[in-house]
Amino acid sequence: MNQPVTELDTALRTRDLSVWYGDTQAVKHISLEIPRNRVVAFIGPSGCGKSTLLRCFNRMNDLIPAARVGGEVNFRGQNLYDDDVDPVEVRRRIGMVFQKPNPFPKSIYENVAFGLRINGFKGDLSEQVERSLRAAAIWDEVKDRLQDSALGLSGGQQQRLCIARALAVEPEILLMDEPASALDPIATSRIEDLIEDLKNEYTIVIVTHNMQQAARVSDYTAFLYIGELIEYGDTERLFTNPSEERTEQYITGRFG
Amino acid sequence: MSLQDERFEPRLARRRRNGKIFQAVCLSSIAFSIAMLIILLFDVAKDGAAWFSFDFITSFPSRIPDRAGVKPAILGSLWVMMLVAAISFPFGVGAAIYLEEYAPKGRVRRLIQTNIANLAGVPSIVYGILGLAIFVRFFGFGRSILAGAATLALLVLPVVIIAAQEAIRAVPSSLREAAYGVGATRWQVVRHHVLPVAMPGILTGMILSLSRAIGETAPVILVGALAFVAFTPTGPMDLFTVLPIQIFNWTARPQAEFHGLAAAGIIVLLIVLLMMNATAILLRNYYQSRRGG
Amino acid sequence: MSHKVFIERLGQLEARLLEMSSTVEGLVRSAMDFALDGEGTAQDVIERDRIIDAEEVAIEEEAIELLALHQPMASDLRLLVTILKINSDLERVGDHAVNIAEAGERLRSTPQRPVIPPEVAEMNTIALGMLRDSLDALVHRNIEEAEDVRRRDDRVDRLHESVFRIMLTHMLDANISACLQVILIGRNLERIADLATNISEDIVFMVKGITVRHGGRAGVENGNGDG
Repeated sequence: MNQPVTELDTALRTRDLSVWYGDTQAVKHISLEIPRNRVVAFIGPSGCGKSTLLRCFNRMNDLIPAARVGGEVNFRGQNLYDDDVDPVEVRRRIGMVFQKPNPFPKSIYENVAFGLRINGFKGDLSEQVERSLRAAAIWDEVKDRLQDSALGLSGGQQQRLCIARALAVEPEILLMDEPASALDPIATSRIEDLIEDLKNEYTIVIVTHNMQQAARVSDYTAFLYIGELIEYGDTERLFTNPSEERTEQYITGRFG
Repeated sequence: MSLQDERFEPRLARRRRNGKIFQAVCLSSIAFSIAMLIILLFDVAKDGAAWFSFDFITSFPSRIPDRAGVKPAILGSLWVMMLVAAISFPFGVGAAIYLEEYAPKGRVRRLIQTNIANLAGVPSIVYGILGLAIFVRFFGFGRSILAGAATLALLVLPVVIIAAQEAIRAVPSSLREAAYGVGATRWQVVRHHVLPVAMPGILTGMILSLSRAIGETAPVILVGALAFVAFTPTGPMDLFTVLPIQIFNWTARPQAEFHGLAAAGIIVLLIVLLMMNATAILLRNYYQSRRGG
Repeated sequence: MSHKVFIERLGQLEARLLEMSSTVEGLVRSAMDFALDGEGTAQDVIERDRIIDAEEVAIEEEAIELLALHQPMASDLRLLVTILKINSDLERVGDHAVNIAEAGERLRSTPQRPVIPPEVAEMNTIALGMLRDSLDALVHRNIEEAEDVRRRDDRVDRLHESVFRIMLTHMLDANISACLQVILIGRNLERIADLATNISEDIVFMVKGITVRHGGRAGVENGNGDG
């Protein structure tokens, strides 16, 4: 099924991963590898399970009582779903940015500092806040109003703040669930540029319903359909000459 | 502009007329309610204004109308209210947090939920009986402010819990997800994010509860508030009286002057109520402004 | 642009390309008829080529519009890119036809015309056949047909060399300039065959998604993983 070349370091690997919501199986026995310092995109029609799959990586599905997970997610040599793994610990190392920007109703500074405080950051708080805001390409816009409420920022700025918040706790992997779908094209473009910069230091997995975005931004793309992994490979090749018929039909717009 | 169309019969004139009728009905119901309220207030003010004075507030009750006052009743009410707030807030908010954030959403939780809703409708005198048995006798608080406050706290607890639950439920899940996402534990999510955002709603629930509690008479009588006090309370274990009892007491007297005193007492009660509400509203606005920036 | 409209317009564009190819074919035939047998005029060929040039521009503009408004992917993208390339190749075939007509004009105006070797006629037949078959391969989306066209290019190259050698010997006893015109005609036919070969290679790319130009062959994987 065209896995990416494994000469690259693997940041995260799933093995026979499945998710059930009650009786419905949303993710069906998916095995794939996320290579380090690359951008992997999950595409597919609505309801294909791409967000559900993403949320397995940082155990966010734990928050849904009816959700049940089978199979393994291996990170740093350990299965994240083992009994002795604390999801709180996982979420510091695997961060997440959500579809609709959701900054805390606090000041800009506090938004970034919160994660640092609760995780017992040992360095200089303000310095780390600044570093994170710079990494998210928003420092210049907010440096003079760090104490202002985050809710006063525009949608695109709020989303970059959420990225800064996620980066502050120094995760290895950044999960992005349709990060630009609530934003206008210019804000979207800035987020995409940011992703390009971030992949030097982080591994990024992005769920998107916008194929052109996946084509622009990712190194590898996985196409999911009704919970199954149909095809996974080089973005360039998948969009010019996919191996699977269903992939071809989806990306040329013949369905979905 | 004539937009005649053969396939539609909009009957605009009739629909507008119906709308206006409905609006008038709603308006008249609220007008009626407010009018009743104004008449009531006016009546009280008319009867009580003559007796309302600084002396009235600072004097003890007396058999002689000219020297009667509500000082012990005011202080008693204030003491009781403070304790009711102090007791019902932690228990009520704590219960709400447990039910919304920690309890598994199954049959047990629904059972608890139903029972709380039922308790909100139990007549207050039943709480009086309960308070007498448990706080006055069993715990041995005697006929004290503490017993009265505990009883009233029990009475308003269901309202506090339900209001707090609603407020907590109204906090968007996206906020919780954001906090979990940076590696917060459940308690950290609740304490740093859910509670601050829910606080305005919770405080509204508290306002409603205290406003009800301050006017309760029956349970407080049962618990042993006195009808005639010649001293001011100094601690939670003291004997006490509250404004509604004092007012009730005066209305029961045959002399007309005491009715005037009762009306003045009502004015005092309303003012205390207003001040309490104003404080709570200020607190709520403070929390809201902190959030909205 | 909605998907439905895109597919319609893409189909119309392909049809237009095919029509252009048969026009170009006819132009080459007319040019050769004039050069070898004196039928028709060179001027006529030149004017018909102008129409082909205009059509090439129109097809290109339509293709670019489809690219911009629809951002096609995968097979749609490859089809569109192939249409663009074939479009430009066909226009150049038209230009070679003009060259043939002009060489024919110069040939007919010299008094001592040499005998035109039969190889030239054979080249003409093969080249026209290659052109037609390559466009058939496009319609059928057939790789074998495209490969077959490529193979015939070798024969044309050999014929071209023969014509060259023969005319070289003729130059000793016939008009040098006239002989040169014949060589030119042969060369233009050889270029037409090359362009037909290009077209067939483009079709292999389109169908399989791999590049076979510059020596690669269909069936050899060239950056394409296999599922």
